[in-house]
Amino acid sequence: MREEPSQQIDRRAIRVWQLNGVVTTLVFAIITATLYIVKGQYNWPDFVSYITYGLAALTSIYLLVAIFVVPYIKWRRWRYQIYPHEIYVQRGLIIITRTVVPISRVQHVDTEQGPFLRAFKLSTVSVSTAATTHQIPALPVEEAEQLRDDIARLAGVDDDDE
Amino acid sequence: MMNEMRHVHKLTIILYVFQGIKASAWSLIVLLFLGAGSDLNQLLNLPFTSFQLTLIILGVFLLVLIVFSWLRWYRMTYQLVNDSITIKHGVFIRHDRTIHKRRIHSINFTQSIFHQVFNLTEVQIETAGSDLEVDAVLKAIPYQEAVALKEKFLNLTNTHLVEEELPIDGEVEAVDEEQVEEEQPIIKEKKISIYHLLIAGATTGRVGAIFGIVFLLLSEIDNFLSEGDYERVVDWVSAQSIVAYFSLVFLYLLIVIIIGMIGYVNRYGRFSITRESEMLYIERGLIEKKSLSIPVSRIQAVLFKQNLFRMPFSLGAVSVELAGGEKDDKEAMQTVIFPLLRKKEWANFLKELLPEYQEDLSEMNHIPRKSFTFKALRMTIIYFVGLGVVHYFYSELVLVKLGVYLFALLGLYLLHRIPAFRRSGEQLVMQYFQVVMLSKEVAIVKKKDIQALETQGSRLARRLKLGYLNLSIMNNFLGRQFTLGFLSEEQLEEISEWYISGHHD
Repeated sequence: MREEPSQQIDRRAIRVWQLNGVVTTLVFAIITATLYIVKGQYNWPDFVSYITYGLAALTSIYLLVAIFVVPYIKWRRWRYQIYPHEIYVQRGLIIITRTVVPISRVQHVDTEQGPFLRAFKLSTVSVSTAATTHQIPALPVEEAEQLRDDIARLAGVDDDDE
Repeated sequence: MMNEMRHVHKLTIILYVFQGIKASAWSLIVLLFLGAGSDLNQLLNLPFTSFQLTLIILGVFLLVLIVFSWLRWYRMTYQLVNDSITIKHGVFIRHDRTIHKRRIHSINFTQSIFHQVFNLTEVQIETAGSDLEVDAVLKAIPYQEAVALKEKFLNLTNTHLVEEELPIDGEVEAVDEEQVEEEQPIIKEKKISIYHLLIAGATTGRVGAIFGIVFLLLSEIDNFLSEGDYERVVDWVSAQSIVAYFSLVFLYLLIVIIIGMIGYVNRYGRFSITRESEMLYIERGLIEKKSLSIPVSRIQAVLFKQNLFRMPFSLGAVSVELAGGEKDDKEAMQTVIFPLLRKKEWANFLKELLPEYQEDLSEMNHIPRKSFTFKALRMTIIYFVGLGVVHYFYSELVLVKLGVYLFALLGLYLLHRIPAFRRSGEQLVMQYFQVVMLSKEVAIVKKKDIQALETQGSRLARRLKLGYLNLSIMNNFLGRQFTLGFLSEEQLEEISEWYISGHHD
């Protein structure tokens, strides 16, 4: 099979994903805690407390996986490469997906930043075709902007050809 | 240039009223049944009974609706200026929209019975935009005028363009001569026989849905019968023999199928499709007549779909995926271009009506056998691990458990035989099983319409040199993805190479 794409995304992506994981964990934790408190107040049947214990256990496991496992694998998998006529992206955790987007199909290219990405001075490039959107997450801001402009320029040139 | 501002026909008011009633039917029913009348009575201490109050609420609602509908009609005007149409509408917020001829993708007509009585038609003007609100609708205008509009804006584009956009004296005549030569466009037409239509109606997947509705109604019947009646019916039913039961069930199924057929025949009755230069024209409908025009250039994929009922008879329907705003067809957002066809007639149908997609469909590359082996092993492991757990708690019915397994294995094998592809020149044919609709589909897609290609697989699958293939195309509002799998590594590579090549030119 074809070689995997050569470029890797910024290593700080791992930190960003870990932070995301922490936020999600917090949401779970709040739900669990609420259930636990409400249960105490209203004298609900016993199995509810088992549910809360279960939820608490799941939340802790989730936290561990979301901090120590998933971001590292994800980062290792994420790769991209820009050819003169196509964009080649690989992503995935267990199931690995490789995408080919011919530059001539590109409709527009954006860079976007969430709060965490901004904190690390990172940016996500997202490439839209008429049907799909593909992302290259967590590149240093300048690199992302350079990439965005490169793709846009290539797309423009390709359009002229046709 | 017939271009003063015009109102649409007054029938529009009635149509708006119906539309309003239909849209608010549920909230009205809830309002009435929750006894809004009696609540208000208590609140305001009015001198009416709650029944009267209910009537009053209804009356006020209708009055407001009628006034509002009249206002909507009154404020809606359209105007033809040169090569564009301007539509102004909106009661509170005014919308002015001008659409130029070049931006118009297609113009569709819908005629309900009301339209037909007054010889009117609803006109939907579709543009390239995929915004639901963007496309313009004229609720009711005279049929002749609509046809003139359509001819002006659509199919006679070539001739009209030439006349209007080349007003330079010397050239006009030369162009006209060319025109005369091309004047007789090749027109191909295909209709469906009533016999085929009935078969199609009997085998729609919708039978299932109607089945459900009728069942629901039947289960509600006991609410309407008085108690004695109900018990008498139950007594009578339980006194019957098995034969009688079966005939009842049979009768019931028959009724369900007939209801389905009537609905279908109404929708697709008098179906005809016509190919004329770069356009496909579809006429259909018994009571509500529709006429659609589809520019061939907007077609992103042609599909032959066979649901479970049609598969055994190798029958199916032909549909297309379109780019742009076709919001009419709720059938999975695809436009049916022929309701029923034998599979072997399909190639011929394409040759005649869509030669662009002409294809020899006999030889397809199937997916490798190890794909089945892999899936079967995976399922076996998952099933027996699950079974082990179940068996620990409940050790009976071993034969049933094994039977289910064998049944699943058989299903897996049957499904394994479906996926296939064929690559020829600039287009790709894919055969796959659509899980949501439970239908077997064959899709023909052109390379230029494929927006992105993906290969997908776990590490294990990759090591076994297997992977899924996803192809994305554009359709109405979102993209649509075709998935084939597992393909062998060589097959994946073959398709990827084919897809990438040509962009390098």
